[in-house]
Amino acid sequence: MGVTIYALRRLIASLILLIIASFLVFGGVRTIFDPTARLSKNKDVQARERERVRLGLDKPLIVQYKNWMSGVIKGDFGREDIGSEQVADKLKKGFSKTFELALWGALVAACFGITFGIVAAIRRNRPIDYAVTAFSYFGIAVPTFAFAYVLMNMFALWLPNYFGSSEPWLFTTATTQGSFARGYDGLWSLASISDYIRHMLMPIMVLSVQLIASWSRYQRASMVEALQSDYIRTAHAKGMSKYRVYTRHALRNSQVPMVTVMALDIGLLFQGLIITEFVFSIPGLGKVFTDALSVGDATTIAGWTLVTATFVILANLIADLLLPVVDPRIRTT
Amino acid sequence: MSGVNIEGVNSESLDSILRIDDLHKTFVTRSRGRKISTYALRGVSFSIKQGEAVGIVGESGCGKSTLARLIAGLETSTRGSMSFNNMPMRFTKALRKKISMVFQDPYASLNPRMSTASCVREPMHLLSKEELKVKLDKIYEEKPEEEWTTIPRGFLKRFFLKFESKRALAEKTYASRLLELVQLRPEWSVRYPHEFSGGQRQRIGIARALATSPDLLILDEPVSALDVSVQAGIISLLAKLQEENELAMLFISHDLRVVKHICDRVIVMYLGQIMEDASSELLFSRPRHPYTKALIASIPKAKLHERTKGYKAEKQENVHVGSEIPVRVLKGEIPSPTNPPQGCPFRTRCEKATDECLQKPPLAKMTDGRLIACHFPY
Amino acid sequence: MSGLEETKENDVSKQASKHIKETIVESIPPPIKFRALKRFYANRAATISVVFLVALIVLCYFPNLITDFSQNEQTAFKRLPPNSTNWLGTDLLGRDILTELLYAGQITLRIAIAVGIISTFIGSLAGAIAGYFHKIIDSLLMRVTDLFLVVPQLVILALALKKFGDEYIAMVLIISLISWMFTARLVRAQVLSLKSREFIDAAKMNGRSSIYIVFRHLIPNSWSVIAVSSAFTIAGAILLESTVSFLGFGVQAPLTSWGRMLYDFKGFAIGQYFYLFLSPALATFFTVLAFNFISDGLRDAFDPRSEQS
Repeated sequence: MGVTIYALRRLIASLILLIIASFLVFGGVRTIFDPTARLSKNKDVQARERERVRLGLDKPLIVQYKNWMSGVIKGDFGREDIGSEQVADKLKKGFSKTFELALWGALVAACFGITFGIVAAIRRNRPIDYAVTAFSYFGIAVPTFAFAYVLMNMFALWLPNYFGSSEPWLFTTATTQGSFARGYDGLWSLASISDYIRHMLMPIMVLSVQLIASWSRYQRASMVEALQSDYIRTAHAKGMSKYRVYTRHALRNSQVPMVTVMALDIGLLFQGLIITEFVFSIPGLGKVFTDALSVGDATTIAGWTLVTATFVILANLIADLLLPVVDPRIRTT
Repeated sequence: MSGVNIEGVNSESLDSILRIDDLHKTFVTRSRGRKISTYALRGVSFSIKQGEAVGIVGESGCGKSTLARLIAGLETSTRGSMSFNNMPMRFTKALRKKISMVFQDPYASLNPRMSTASCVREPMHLLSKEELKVKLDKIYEEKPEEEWTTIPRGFLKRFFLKFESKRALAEKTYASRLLELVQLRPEWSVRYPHEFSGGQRQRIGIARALATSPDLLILDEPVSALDVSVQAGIISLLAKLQEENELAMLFISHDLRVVKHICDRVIVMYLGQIMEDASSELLFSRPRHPYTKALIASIPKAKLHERTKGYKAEKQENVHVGSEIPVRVLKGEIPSPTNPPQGCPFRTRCEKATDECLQKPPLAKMTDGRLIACHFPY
Repeated sequence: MSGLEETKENDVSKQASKHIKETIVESIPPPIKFRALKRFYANRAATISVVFLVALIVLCYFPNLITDFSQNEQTAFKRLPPNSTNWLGTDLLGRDILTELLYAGQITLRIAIAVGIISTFIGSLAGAIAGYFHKIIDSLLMRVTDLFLVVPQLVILALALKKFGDEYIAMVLIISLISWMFTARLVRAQVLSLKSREFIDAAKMNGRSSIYIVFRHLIPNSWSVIAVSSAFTIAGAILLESTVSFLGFGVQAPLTSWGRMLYDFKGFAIGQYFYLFLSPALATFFTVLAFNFISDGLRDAFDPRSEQS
């Protein structure tokens, strides 16, 4: 019973947060961007006013928000301010591309980040620990877009040239048709899989480098703390095998803070998506955002922010619900 | 004191400096959506006379520290009244000047980022210009040529010394004098707390408490965090200060030996209620309440006699603590203050307990002057 | 009063003070000076970072110490690879990259350090107040922090810059406004742990006001946290600035920053002119790295327990 009430409370709190955040963003973009600005030099003085009425900009902000939101609930995000496409279609189109990349990015980051952290914690103050620490410093300090270009030069130009291969080892998707997988006959043929990897590897690396760095750091810290605690010493003293001590006791206890950290970083993942898609010219959600921002398309930006905010809140909600499962000490009140 | 002859007020309450009447304190916490009440104090009444040292003893969790914090104004009571100098207590600046407190942990009670002088100066903003001047005059009268100001270390601090107000300089002088009073060197006033040992820090804490020349000094386990060898020094210092300044002291401790040494009167508390209230001499030589007896019986005695004093001394010591008390350790745990037992709080661990103890015994006065809350005080 | 009596009194007081000095059983250990500083200098990475940053700041503000060129000066008639006159080569217009880099560094560092100061100021104040009062203000702060977590920093920054973007002062203010929460959270946690210490009780008992307690007790005892988080905030600000400028929404010409240079050289990022892109990228990387090292060095120096974890 307690768990359901706890879940419900978290859900309601998340919804409230989502509504406030979306209102602030909606109000923000509406005041920042004026889609009728381009009509200000129009000879027809009434044209701008007509356009404002057509877009509903003459009404107070709260009414605009209400109208927009009632559309959003039905799946209608409105039409873009400049151009005639439906925002919902743009987001849907972008989402299919982005989702693939984001899922791989998060997965790779979680696997490598947690593994690196665990290995570094177990082999503390040994060469492998220093290597992980060095990598995490690199990942935290490097501008991701610059890292992307270094990778592109390395795997598409220098290394293939040096070894005299005829085509690049990895594709920068910018140079292909802008799709990840070209049409191969068999979906699971070796050729299609290797082609898929060759297209996807660099964007995934760029997307996950920062997350791997930060997550391995957190994992290492929490694992070290767990390993230093008394119950680990007791477990060792009992004669439990090292593997069991690490997996059963240390790993389990060190996962508690990781759940929160990883959920919080979903926002960082979207930030990474914007950069990655910009650099690799992937027509995903990130590109939708940068394009909309450069032309000043308020409706698209509002819709985009709502969708990403929903994902961030969803991730945090899942983490909140997962936390009592991972850590029984957390009371579900 | 003004208004000596007030009708309806007996002579005992007139010369009392602190008077506490039926004080209650309940802490309410929330857990799993339910409210949980912790009854820290349940109807505590006593008074302290001018210049009297009162000890409060009891096991941990009996409400001693809560009592101290209430009197110090750090918490507010749930019910009951407190009066100071026959005035209901309101924590104005004037009152804060009269009551001060020495804390338990000398490592936590001094700000590590403030010099000793700054620590001791902290309450001095309560003093008016005239009061400070009186103190300074006294200092210069007593020791005219002593150098009280110490040049601080550090170039910047030395530079800013030029711009200090007269008030700040006066306060510093007074702070140095206070340090001397607690047997520290005045020139140490520029040092920082981490450079001192626990005992020395506690002396600084005492100096800070004395800065406003209070009438009542609350000591919340002032020596329990110190080494035994250092405790003696602090205790004798406190005794000396109390005698010299006619301080009223509320000495809270779980160590009966310390209390016995320094206090005129001892109050024994259990689960937020007073069990016995008697003069120190009476309480230790002839304890009446079963709980007091048990507490005294559980004092560990050093077997000095075997090597140094011989058989006679052992006999004397036994007589001293009360030879009629069988030495026994209290059985069981102290009940949870969230759910205290009905009636007499001690009945769950008392060997004399009968059905009558389900009724709460009143705190009654005995012929020898003590107050006791027990149905079977013999 | 006769002279004899005076001397007698003197003797008495001297004896008294001598007596006091003798009765002090416990001796006082010699003070350990600059403990934290010594530990900081024992950390090689942090020390090197400090030296690097000092050198960088000096060079950025006095570029003529190592280059003979001035800003926007045409030193060659074509693009040159790195050589003995132009250490990092020249760009399309024949401008010396090293000189441009140092001048751009001025703007980047100015933005970053200004952000560090402003957001540390706001963050530590908000954190201390929220931690001390703990009820309404605290939950308000936490909700605001939640809001900023929901929308990525880059998005907020890009949106805001679209509105106010021409001035770099606006950039400083906006980055500060979105990065003070980190400091606030850390300071709040520190204050919450300090609040239950007895010296706060003592100050309250002595009738000190809340403002006095916050400024005299809580903030001075949070210096270590504040220092650590400000270095970390500066590192984050440099990265954020370079990213948003690279996307084309940040510092606008004629001003240049490292991020703006990266945006300008984006077209050369792949291929033989990669060195054009690499110099500002490496400058950003090493500066951010240095601030991160300093942040960790400070943390270890102030809190020796965390040294090995």
